[in-house]
Amino acid sequence: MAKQTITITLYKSELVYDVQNKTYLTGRSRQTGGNHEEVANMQANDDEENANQILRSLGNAFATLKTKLSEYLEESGTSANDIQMDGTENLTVALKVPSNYNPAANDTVSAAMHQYLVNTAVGDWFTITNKADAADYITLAGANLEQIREAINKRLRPVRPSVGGASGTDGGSGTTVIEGGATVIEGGEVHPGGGVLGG
Amino acid sequence: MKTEKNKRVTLTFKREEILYDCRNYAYIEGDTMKTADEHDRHQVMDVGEDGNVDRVARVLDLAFAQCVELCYPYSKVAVGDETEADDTLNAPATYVLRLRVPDDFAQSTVTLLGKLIHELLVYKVMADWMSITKPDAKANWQEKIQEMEAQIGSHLNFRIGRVRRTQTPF
Repeated sequence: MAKQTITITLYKSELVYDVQNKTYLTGRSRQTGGNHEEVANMQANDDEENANQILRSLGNAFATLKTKLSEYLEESGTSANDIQMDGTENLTVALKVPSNYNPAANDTVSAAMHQYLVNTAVGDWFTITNKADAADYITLAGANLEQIREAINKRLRPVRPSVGGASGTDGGSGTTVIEGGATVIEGGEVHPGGGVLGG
Repeated sequence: MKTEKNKRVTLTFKREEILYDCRNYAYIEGDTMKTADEHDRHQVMDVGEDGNVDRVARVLDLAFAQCVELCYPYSKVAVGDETEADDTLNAPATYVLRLRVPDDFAQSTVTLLGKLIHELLVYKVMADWMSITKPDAKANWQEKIQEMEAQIGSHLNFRIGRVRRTQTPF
């Protein structure tokens, strides 16, 4: 059965916003009244050095994600580099999934991919700015990978194909029709499907 | 007394029908697996998918040849003066079994044979696929194969001819 392609686009603007929002909220909730500098450092923003760190983390996480999904990716190429991705181009994966893949899992796959990238980037960011919370996000990212694995491996029950004249039933009424008078054909002939048959 | 084999019977097995049964069984096998690993589960379920289906075609080709041989008394065809064969993967749309049967061969036996052979083909595919993806389920399918082969042999041999018993065993 032919494979089907599921294209998932992760918008970089959504990813970066989510990272900034999580770090902002974390910083706000960690305020003690006397730790203004620490809180400010926790909150990622669009400053160049902040953005570079976040983009680097997102790029690394995306590369890891593709490795985890390699069973479903068909990419070619003979070279790679470590140039940091820019902040405008969106992240896209074309997953080649089997025909019995359950499309009900699409939303879970894309949501978990988004969460994995964001949690990894936040974990990396907090490793630098807020060590106490970093491990939580790394753990969450690991759980997101499990969610992706579970969702993408969901399968549909097969649907009986419509085979012309093969059913042996009289138009779906459920009555089996047994035809008498077998066709007279010599044994060992090549049948229309191409296989040489007969004893 | 020897019964003349003048009637010809054609049994056609559609690949799509066999594959559907295999996919359906594989889905149930996967669905009932006691595992939390969806990867293991989908390997069981994906019997009819790209790549995997080539293995199925290979097994089906062999299984059908075995079925033809199983019906040997009625399926035998003399080998030609020059016969060639190779191992190219063969995945025809239909598998056709042609039998030459005695005049008094019953239609009910023909009907039963068709159904038994369909089941046998499906079981052979399943036993092979389970041996790869869910080894602990293989024995179950192997057992079904043996039962089906025994039934086919029994119904065919029952028809081979009348046996005249001698008056004395000595």
